[in-house]
Amino acid sequence: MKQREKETEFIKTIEQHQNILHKICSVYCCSQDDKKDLYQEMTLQLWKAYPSFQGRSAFSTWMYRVALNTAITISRKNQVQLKPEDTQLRIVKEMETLPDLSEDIRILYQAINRLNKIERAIILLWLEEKSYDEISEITGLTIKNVGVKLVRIKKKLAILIEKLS
Amino acid sequence: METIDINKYKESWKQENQKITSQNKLSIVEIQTFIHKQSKDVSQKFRIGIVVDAVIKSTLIVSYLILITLFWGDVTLISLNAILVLVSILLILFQIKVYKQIPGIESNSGKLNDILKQKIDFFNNTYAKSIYIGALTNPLFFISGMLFYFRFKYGEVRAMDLEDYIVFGTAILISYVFALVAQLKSYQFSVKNLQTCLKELNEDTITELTIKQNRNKKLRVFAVALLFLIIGLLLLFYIMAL
Repeated sequence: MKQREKETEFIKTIEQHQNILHKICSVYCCSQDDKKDLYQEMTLQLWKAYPSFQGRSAFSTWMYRVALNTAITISRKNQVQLKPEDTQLRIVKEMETLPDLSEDIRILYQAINRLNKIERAIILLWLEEKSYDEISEITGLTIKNVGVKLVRIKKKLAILIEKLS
Repeated sequence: METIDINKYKESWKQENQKITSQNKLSIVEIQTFIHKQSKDVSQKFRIGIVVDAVIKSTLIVSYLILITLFWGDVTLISLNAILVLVSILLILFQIKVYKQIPGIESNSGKLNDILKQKIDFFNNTYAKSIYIGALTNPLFFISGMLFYFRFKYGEVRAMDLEDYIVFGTAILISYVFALVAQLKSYQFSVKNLQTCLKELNEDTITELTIKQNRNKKLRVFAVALLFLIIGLLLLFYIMAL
């Protein structure tokens, strides 16, 4: 397949699955600028990794893997690091990135934003109804470990939601 | 107090997230623009850093060759500049070797656990060494400048006494440490971020011992680099004193 055709095919596929990237951005970014930067970086990394996609797993699973790896490993030095005490500023910034969502989902997003990078990835995959097998495939954790972590994360998230509500 | 059931959020999560996508929907043109942009990943910055360093070292090689012609007839200074040319070439070759290893850490299609380990390993070994090598550009630049200064001010390299050696030695060391500290800061930020993620991912499996081992490894590399710099300085002064 020629490079041009490959590029067109890739862009069309990404356009169809762009909701995955939007969700990851909302979970990992606190401002619109960060969100745009991350979206760009994830798209670029997906394009670079595209030749390695052999269709062994679902495209969405592969896409989650590359995009989450990018979101987790990227070092954004210029990103504003919000301290825990900057709650008000954090909420204002989060509001920028979250459109007209229901109060429940808004709080869920805010709670997820308070988890660490790995916990965010695991809970996002769980919310997306990925199986333990798929979560294990994406993260490299054992299936048993995925289960243990999910139980802990859900408990932590429940406490955070309660506080934020 | 009633415990919140997270499972209840799953269904509304699916429905509500369509809104996020529809409100931020990107066009084909925007996606196309993204894939043709430069990466902001740390490996890209690292790549640019190596290229810039190689260009500066190449300029230094040219300057040492000019110094050889300027000091033509003075065997000591010709030898000194020839050694510095050789050192610069070796350092560039090392950086080229590092440059070739960068694609190995750019892939994001593997398992997160493996990617994190691979990147941390690259940063702690290859990248750390490259920082110590890259920082040597400053002392090389300083020595070149010093020789040019002597040549145009006095027409020769004047005999130096102990005080001169201390002043120039300290200046060369400071120029090295300054470059090193600036680059180490950026390196520490990147590696700390990755280590935290790996620790969070594996929690109990990555032990404090591994972190301590990495710290010891870095200290060893620093000690070796400093030793080489001091030996190099002593050699330089010995040759100049001949």
